[in-house]
Amino acid sequence: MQFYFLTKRDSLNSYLLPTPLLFFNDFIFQYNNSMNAEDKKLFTDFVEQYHQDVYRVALYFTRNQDDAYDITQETFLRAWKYFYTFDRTTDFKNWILQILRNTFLSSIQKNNKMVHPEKGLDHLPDTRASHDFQILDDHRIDNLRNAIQNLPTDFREVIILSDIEGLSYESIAQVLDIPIGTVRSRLHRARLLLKERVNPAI
Amino acid sequence: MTKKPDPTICKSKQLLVNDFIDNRMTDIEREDFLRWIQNCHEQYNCNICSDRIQSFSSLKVLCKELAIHVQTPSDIVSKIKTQLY
Repeated sequence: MQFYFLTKRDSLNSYLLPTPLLFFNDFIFQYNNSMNAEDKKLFTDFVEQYHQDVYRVALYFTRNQDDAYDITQETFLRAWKYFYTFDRTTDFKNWILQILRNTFLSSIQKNNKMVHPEKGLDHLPDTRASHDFQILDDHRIDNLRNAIQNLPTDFREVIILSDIEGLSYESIAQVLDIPIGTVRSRLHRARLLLKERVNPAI
Repeated sequence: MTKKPDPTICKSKQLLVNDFIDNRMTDIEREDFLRWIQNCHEQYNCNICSDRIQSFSSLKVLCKELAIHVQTPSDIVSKIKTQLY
């Protein structure tokens, strides 16, 4: 952290307000300078291409629009910071979703700000009255969305990544850092539970 | 009178429902599994796997629909770019 202080050149306020974000922005600033134009262009293209996927998953993780918005931004900033570690032969979407998940988990641990995944509907905004999701007439969709949001975290993650985002088992294993066999069994249990909860609507 | 399905074998086949609907089977595996389902229906009057295939497939379709209806904030890309550059 001290290192970032020393490299900040022109903002006295940053010394007076030593927030983690300012340190982080300093680091970004430095890294930007060493990043070549081709990489910057590539990364910008990735932002354009994947921001909807990242936001959508963030929304299901955080379960409210404001936190999803923040987490999405933070995820891309982290990705930018560590872009030099990204293996160009692999799928960027898997990589960015992995960062998203880690960012989300860090937010819960450090800030205790996000809605805890296990707390259930009582702690959720009424999405029907908000703009978190487009209001749908279809009851089946509505029931399914609520059922997914109330799944235990492990199950919710695999359902989101598999059935909403369409990731392969291999990609899910990479994002969640678990074996494929675990993905397979977890997905099965998640679908069974989801089926039980939305069954009247299907 | 129909026989009861062997719960041990049945359990080992459960995960195949997901392999089936997620297209993770070869043609041969797929045919074997369909034969297994047919056999279960005829011999044991058991429809667990076929019912699950149907309901899980419906869930997948609905989940895809769900993805389409999430609105992404229009300014998020410009906000990210502003922070990057």
